[in-house]
Amino acid sequence: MIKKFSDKKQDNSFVYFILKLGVFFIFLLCIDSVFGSIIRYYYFKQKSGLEFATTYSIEKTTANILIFGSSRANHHYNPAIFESQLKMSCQNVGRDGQEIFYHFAVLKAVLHRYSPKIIILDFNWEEFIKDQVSYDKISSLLPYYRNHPEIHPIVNLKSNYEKIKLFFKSYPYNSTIFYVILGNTEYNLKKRNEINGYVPLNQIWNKPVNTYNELKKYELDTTKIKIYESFIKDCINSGIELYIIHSPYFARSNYLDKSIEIGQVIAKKHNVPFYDFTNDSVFINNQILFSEPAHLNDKGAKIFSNMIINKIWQPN
Amino acid sequence: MIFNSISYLLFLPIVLIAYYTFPFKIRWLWLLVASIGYYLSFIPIFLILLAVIVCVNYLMAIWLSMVSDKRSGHLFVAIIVMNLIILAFFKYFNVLFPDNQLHLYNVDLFFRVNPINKMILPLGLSYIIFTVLSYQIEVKRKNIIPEKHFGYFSLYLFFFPKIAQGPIERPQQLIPQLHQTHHFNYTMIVEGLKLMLWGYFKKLVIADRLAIYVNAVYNNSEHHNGNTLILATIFFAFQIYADFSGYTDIALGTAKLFGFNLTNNFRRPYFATSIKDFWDRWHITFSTWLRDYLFLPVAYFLANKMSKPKYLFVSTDKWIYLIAIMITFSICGIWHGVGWTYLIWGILFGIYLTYSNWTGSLHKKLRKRLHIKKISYYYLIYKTILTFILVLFAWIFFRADNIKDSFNIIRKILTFNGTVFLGDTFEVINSLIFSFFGIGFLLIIELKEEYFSNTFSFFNNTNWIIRNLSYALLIISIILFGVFDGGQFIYFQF
Repeated sequence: MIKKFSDKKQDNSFVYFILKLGVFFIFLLCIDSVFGSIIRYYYFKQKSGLEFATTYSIEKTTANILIFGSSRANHHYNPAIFESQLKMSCQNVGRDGQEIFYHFAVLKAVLHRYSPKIIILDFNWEEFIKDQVSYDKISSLLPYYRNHPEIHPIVNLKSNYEKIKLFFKSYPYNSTIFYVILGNTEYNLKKRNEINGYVPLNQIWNKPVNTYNELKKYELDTTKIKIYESFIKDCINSGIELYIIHSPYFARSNYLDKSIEIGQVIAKKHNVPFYDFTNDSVFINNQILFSEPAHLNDKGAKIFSNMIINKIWQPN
Repeated sequence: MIFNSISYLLFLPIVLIAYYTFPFKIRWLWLLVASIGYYLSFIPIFLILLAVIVCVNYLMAIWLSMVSDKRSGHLFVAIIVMNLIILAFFKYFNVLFPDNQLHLYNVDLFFRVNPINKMILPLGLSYIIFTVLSYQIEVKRKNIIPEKHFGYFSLYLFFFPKIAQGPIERPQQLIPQLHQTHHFNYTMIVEGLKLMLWGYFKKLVIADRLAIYVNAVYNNSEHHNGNTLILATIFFAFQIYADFSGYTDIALGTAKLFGFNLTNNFRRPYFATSIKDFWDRWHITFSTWLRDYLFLPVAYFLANKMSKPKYLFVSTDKWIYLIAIMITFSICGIWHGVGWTYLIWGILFGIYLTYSNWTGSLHKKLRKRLHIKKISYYYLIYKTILTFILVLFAWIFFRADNIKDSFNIIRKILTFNGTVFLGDTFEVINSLIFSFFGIGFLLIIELKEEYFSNTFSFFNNTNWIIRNLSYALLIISIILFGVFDGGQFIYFQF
């Protein structure tokens, strides 16, 4: 009798707990929805900054020439020069610190809307290195998950639980609040001189060139390699002229980076030009063209952009 | 399957529902199976080692309780030495065999196998060994009779909320709870969930956020100025606290869901007014372990050996304290890791405590002469800040990669030079803003708990809306400001 009473009491408190938990969860979802909607509104209302650049690349650009890549793309390719010489609209859709996952997601979103005529993909040293951070960076695509099903497979690479996390409306805006606030002010516009995605750097590097003699060993990420090949295939299937370019570093390398080697082999397999500027004499002997070893300054970008145009421009 | 992973948040409700569904008689078995399952989600091969430790200690303890007092001494020493050798072997394996190429495998929830090509310390080994030593000492001292039920004994060591990082539970605290029947207790479950939530906030919003700046600075300390290093050191103090106490809150909260009360490891340590007070509030189960099983036995041993009232004009009590505390804190340092930095960290605390012990009466006289009341508000603030600075100084050694870096950091800090590192992009500033928000929030909550515990509370408010809105906002702040790619807890490595 006592046992039965105790069991019944336990059942009741269990039901009570589940009910209260359910009510709290609904309450939480309402609060989350309010926060998520407010931040979303201001996120997409931004007029400047990195998030704005991504939104513009994914949802708005209709340029004939698109330049993909990391910060090195941002600082090395001046769309104004491409536009004036090739008489085609050009947008630099590169983003600081981003890698092939981001580039492929942006490409997918762009191809969902239209097909550009020319795409330049800036290829980095150690592009295919296995590194968890590359997957963490996919979070910059989370705000676009809801309206862009074409990028779902790439976002899902971040972790097995992204779908669960995205159940919360605020989650896509994790750690972005201050960027969103700034993007809604004049701060970025004043600080970052950006023209069609190109960000000129004005400093001049004044230290001697570094030389790398030993082949750096690192583990390759097969997923990155597959995504890179998919990027090439999608461009080819959409009839886009694709150029893959390893833009210059102010560093002398006496070995061929494993990623560049693989990148070249895959590009060759699909008959896509791959231009490697490692140890290019124009740049390696001219530190005044660099802002720092990984980035050209505005002067260097002008020269480099013209060199690329000469390579891709084929008069009929 | 670390606590801050989604896998754990999926694993826990499954285990919990099954636990309350099963009859009382087999619930311990289910908890043991779940604990083994939890352990298997790290590096499965180490489960064999743990199983051996459990079996051997189970039998040894029973044997120890059966042999006569005369013979038990040797057996007891053998048990202690055996456990310490196991711990030392794994802890210092990479020092003994620096070029080892062992192939260990980590298996995740999806049975994906990730190779780890170097020896690593088996998860929770330090905590298990310290728990088992405490058990054996209590058996030897006849404070407890050995647990006869192998299942309960195994669960005492394996219980998954505490296996990875403690708390180091005394047998008197946990074993009786294993024998009890745990009904579904609404209040305890809600308490557990609240504690877990607060733990997640500390880990994801505070600790992992602070880690970004701390790692950026400390990993390149030679390129940073004194002021930046001061800020990074302050951040590290809060990072390690939020990380470890966050873990403890999650562990305690998880245990409460199953009806168990584990011992709290932290009691607002940065509000301590002396170094002794700090150690009464920091990693409590470890510090009391060291006090009861190392400091006091050493002190008693010395008291028996040192018969004169004074040595070198200093009272014997003070000498005993010095020797016992230095031994205790040296071992405390070595327990934390291989390397001189950890040893110095431990010795520093030994010095602080000895200084406090030796000059205690002098300070008292000075206070009297200057008419400073011990309960004076300003004196309390002065002591709290001074204690924090001393602890901060010790953290430099704990966090720096090596001795050389530690001294370079101290040298730079003492110059108080330069502007604080803000980086080229807005990322660092963003991280700093979140960091200050996290520390500020933590301090406000703890300040209230420390000095104004009976005043208005959002989280324990009687109004349903205010209380639940507070918790909902805490969850939203985790979602919005948490670092979800931060990785494991700092004390996992110890």
